[in-house]
Amino acid sequence: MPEAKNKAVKQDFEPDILVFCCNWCSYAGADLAGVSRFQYPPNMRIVRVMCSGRVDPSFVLKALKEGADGVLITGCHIGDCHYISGNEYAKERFEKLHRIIIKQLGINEKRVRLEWVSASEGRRFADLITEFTNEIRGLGPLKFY
Amino acid sequence: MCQLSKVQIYTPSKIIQLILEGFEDKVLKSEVLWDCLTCNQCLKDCPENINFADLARMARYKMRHTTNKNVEELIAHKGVYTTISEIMSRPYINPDRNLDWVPKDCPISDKGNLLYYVGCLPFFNYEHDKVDSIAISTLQILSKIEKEPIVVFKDEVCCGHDLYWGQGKLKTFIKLAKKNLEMFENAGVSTIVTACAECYRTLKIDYPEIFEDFSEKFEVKHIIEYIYEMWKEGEIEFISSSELSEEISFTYHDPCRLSRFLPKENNITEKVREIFKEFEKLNYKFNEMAHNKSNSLCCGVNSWMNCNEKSKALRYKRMLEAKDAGTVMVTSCPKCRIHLSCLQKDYENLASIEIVDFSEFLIKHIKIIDKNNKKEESE
Ligand code: SF4
Ligand code: SF4
Ligand code: SF4
Repeated sequence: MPEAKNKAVKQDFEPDILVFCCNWCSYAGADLAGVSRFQYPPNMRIVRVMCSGRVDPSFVLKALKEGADGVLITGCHIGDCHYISGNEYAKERFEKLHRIIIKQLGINEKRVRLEWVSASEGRRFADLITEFTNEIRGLGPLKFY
Repeated sequence: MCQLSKVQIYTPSKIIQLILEGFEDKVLKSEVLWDCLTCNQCLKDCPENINFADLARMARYKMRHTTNKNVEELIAHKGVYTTISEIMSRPYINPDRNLDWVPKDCPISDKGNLLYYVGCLPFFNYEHDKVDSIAISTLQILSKIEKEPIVVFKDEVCCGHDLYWGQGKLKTFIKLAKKNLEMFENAGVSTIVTACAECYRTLKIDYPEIFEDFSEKFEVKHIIEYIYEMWKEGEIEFISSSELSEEISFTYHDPCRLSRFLPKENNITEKVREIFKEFEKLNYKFNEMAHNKSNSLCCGVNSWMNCNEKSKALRYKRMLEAKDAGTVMVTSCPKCRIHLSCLQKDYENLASIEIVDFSEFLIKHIKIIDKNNKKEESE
């Protein structure tokens, strides 16, 4: 993969980040960040899902396999889930994914993160993306040859 | 008869005939070869020795590149486990396995003679219960018998079996094999023991086909073989555990990888039965299931492929046979255990059968024969 090679060689490395946003809170939060013209780095791509509970751990693994340097899953705050407990389910699954799979694969756990962003938190969404992007940038590419 | 044909229309002979008549393209296009369980039952019965499972494996390699079908849909658990294997094949991934399961009284090291190849068990913890206990009991058995610390890798990678058979991912398989070989060499091991039927077959048969001198450098043993040898050499004996008061009837599920996938001279199926015969002295009663040894029924899911209602029906058949045969079902493939016990959650009438791994079954019953003591007695 020549592209990946360049990524590693390049001094100012730009990470590829995948963000899962739930339809009801986080996506609206991202939207708000957009309309409010809050700036954040353009390294991420958003996948909208109906609920954070929809994010199967295999999605995260496949993203990492296909070259994402970091994956961020966002959902409504606990108690605010549109489907009542989807985010609790997401949290439970996510913790297992972290502890049993990501860690044991030897992938830095900071690359995969779960955060709650509500529809009104446009500012927070922008800050979160900035912070996460910088963190991944600091960690460097997941792929190196 | 094809095992799959018990639950759906499937005629391997017809498929072979079509291929011989020159309709290979049609066969590939029809995608039927994704369905095969690769259980090798048909090879056993085939008068012409056609290895259909191997053919399915190679066809999958081709079909992946030609098909429009979403192969991911066929993989169980949305492909979590196979994706893990694929990630491990990458050169930049260095697994950092959790070794908390290692019992305190079992010394382990990263260099030495005898390697316990754990396989993917620590990752199965993700959704399946009690898989650690297979690794624990295997390691306990090994450390009981061996004097040196057992080698257990912190950065062990997958053997590649599931990618090889399930999806025909030959290149990834070879990458994993190379990684493994390098690790074995660096650690200076000469004997590799595993408790997994699939790892065993892969290391024993498939790796030597890639690396010419693999079988000269390393001796691969299933834990059954290992215990059998130790027992025959007079190193260990089997004792009854104090908890047993009444007779327990048990049966054994032969994993396809140990019963139909090995050369004829490898008689693991007989060895394990010899051990079980010995157990009859210990208040156990060994019963065969209706299908046993090389005819044993498949658990229905191979390499995490095609877990559906049909494979469920196959598991159900197997569990009914087990129920007739006894209260405990021993198997020597961690995945067989996972798939079969998965069914128990859905059927109350099957829940009473206790499914245990061979190592879990034996751990309580192994005693080291103290050679020094014996000598003194005879003097
Ligand atoms: S390998 Fe098993 S499932 Fe496949 S055709 Fe042969 S008997 Fe049928
Ligand atoms: S899980 Fe066991 S029976 Fe099923 S395919 Fe694997 S070895 Fe064969
Ligand atoms: S039988 Fe159960 S454990 Fe096995 S693949 Fe199917 S769902 Fe998973």
